[in-house]
Amino acid sequence: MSALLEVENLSVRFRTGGGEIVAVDRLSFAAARGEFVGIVGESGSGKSVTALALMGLVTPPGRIAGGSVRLDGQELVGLRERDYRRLRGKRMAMIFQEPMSSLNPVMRVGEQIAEAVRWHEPVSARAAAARAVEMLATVGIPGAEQRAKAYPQQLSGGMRQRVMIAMALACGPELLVADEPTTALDVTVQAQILELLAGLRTRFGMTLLLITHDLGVVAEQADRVLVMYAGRLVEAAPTAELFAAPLHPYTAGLLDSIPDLDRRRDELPAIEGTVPSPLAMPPGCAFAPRCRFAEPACDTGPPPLRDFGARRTACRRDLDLGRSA
Amino acid sequence: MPIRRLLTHRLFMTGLVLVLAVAGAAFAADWIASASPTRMNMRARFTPPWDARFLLGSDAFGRDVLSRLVHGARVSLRIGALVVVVAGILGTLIGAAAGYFRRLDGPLMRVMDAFMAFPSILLAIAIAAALGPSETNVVAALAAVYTPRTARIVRAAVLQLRESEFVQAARVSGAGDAFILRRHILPNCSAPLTVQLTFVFANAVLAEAVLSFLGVGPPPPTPTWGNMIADGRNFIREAPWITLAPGIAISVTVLGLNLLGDGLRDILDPRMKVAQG
Amino acid sequence: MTAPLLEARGLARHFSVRSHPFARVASLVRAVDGVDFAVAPGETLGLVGESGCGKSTVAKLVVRLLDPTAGEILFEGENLLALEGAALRRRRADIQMVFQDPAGALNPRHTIETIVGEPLEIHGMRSRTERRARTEELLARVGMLPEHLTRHPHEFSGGQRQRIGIARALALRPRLLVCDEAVSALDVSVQAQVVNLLKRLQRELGLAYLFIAHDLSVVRHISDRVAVMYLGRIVETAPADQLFSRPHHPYTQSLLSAVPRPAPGRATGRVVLSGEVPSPFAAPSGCRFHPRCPLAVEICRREDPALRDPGDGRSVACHLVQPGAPPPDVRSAA
Repeated sequence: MSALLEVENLSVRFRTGGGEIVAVDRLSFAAARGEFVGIVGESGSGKSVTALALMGLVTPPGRIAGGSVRLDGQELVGLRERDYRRLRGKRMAMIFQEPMSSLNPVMRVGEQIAEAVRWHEPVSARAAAARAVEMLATVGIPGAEQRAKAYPQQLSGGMRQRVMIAMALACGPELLVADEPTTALDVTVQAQILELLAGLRTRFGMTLLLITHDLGVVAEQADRVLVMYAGRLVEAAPTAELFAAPLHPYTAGLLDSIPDLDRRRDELPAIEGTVPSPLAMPPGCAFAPRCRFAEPACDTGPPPLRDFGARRTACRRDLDLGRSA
Repeated sequence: MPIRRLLTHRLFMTGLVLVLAVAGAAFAADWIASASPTRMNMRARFTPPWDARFLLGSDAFGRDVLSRLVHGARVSLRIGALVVVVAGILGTLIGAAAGYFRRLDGPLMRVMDAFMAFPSILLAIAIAAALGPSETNVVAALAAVYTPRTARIVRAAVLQLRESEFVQAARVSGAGDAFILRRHILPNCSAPLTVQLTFVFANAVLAEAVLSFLGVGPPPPTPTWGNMIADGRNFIREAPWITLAPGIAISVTVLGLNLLGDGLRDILDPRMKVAQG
Repeated sequence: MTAPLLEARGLARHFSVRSHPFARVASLVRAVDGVDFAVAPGETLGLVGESGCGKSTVAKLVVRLLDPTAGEILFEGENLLALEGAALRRRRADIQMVFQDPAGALNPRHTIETIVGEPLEIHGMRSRTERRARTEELLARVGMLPEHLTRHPHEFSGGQRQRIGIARALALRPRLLVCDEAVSALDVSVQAQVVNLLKRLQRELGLAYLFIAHDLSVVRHISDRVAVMYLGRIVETAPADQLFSRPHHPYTQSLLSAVPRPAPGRATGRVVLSGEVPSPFAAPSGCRFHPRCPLAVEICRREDPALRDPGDGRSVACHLVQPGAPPPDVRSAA
């Protein structure tokens, strides 16, 4: 599999009242064609900012402070807005957590999808409308032809999310970035949408980048998982290996602190402390103040990224963190 | 009050300086202008400014324009302040009652809407004319105009606050309506209210000038900026300073108050959102 | 079972909604439509369900932020709904609530001392020194320091604010805490801290919890018994271990199977329901779940099943659950 997306040392900074903060710090990863990559992190991890940076949607007071993002060899950092617009929707698309914020409430959903198609392809209005109906059916909306005439507020949450997916995929992009697409949905609807996304990925052979705070969401279908903490990548591994034997204490701590649906434990081993404020980042490893295994060396400088085959970790120690569960 | 942010806000500080300058001049009226604002001197009529006796010239009756200006400032500012107090108190009471008690909302706001249906200046003129020319009546008329607008702002804030979780938490703890209004709702209204009242002040100063100009304000010989403009109206070509001085004074005051209000709004209103972060 | 601390019988809350102020006909939203449950002293009853199931409304009814349109709520046998004024205020001390939004639940202009001390003030503790002593004690219980008393909510993280909310809820020494999505707005790692805290407090203070959440894993971890709601009704109630390992009601089974597990390769065997929760304006006839139920039969369309005990101490509202017979299995229909 060749790499469709290559991110190298991407850094994003924001100017705030208290100074400049680093939201994403020298992030590097690659996603191959057709691969399902999950990016997992809590608030402040920089995962959503990463998604915006990939799509060229970082606006002042934020800026891309360095690094490179290459889509199929083409450099995206520094690209002019009008060139980016030709890519968005056509070769790379994004879906968001809250569908209502990306759907126009005064436009019928069919029209919105058709508009996306016509922006990128020289097709007639009728052909675009037909494609819109086709997309609605593809994303599993029953009675697509009638539904295309509906307004977003007339549809339920799950349906709106499907519409957003239809809009994103209307021109057959090679990369789909999904930022917390199921967080606002009920569990049963979440299952439907995740199944849909996985199916579409296989069907269209597209690369799926799923950003979430919920490890369960990526566990089942993702090929690889990246874990971010305080703007930095702390671990990257094929899914099964990450869950079975994490290399980074944060990953292990996170996995341990999630209650198990299948078994009740007495006390959840929680990670003590809180995420550091971006205005007051520790000098060394960002996780060191909360880490059970921290050594003095961990506070001196940012930890090196170490590769073990397909795995990468930002922990300088060799720890046996195999899950006891 | 985020004092530091206010002090660094350029618009706010400019406005503050202007307003303080006007207020200071009004306060120190007797020291700035030793001459009486009402003493006529028919031999010194229409003296142009920069005269030894009349720094800003004299008017059609030989009265010192500067003296009338700073004494008029007192009247204008006093009226403005009183209107703010009355509209502020009444508007808050009505707005809070309407916002908090569902059953009062309909009747109260319909009455407010009725007042707001009239163009503000016309309403003020009608009331002031009906009550007779005096400072008190001007305050009453302008309060009638600005109370509904203030009530509407307070009502909107109260409606939103009523549903917040910390109010629900107080209720679950057993708090009664009075406690909740006093402790939670009204204090959190202070930001939009302050901003609104700054603009009420500015508008009241302007409106008072209009009322005085039309003759339904405080009667002569009390100097107000409005009736100074009225007095000088017929002499604009020969003695423009009679109208210019009060005109500039009004502009400076209203501008200063508006800048003050804008600055306050920038700092106070978005701050409410920052606090949730 | 010992005498229940809290009991709800036939609890219902309807909202009359007009599409616009002058509409002639108002539609009825049956947010809670006949709900029975009980919480024993010191136990945790988890209440789960998806959007529109009515669990948040139940929370508000129990603390009397809303009054029911029908039904009873009994606390230690006393009818809670008959209380008014001062008597109600006294009873409120026994039932307190922890809210979902750590930021919204604390007045941004007040200091922590004022916030945590407010219930004490409302209940007549006038002496400021006395209040301060008690608030320090409460903060210590939730793992915070006395120096935090003078600060404001925005100076704290989400997890800390939630602790403050819990401290406030404990001020009046309640017997029952209603936790309305108390950890849902927190990061995963912080969730664990707060859940541990809640469990510890329960042990130390003998509290009962009505724990309302949509995250089933958290509910499993903290609950002794669990009730599952769907469209305003309880469809199944059972001890936690039983409910999660052998759910009887088809909806419970689908719900549990839909939860993604943080363990790779579980996608097989998942039952994905079709459609979504119907709008509460148009509840289906008969069993409310029948349009989405893979096992629905004719009677399900006609008759609304009542909560019954199939013989093992739980309650299930399903026509297919018969005493003595093996329970229905949604996966058999897939």
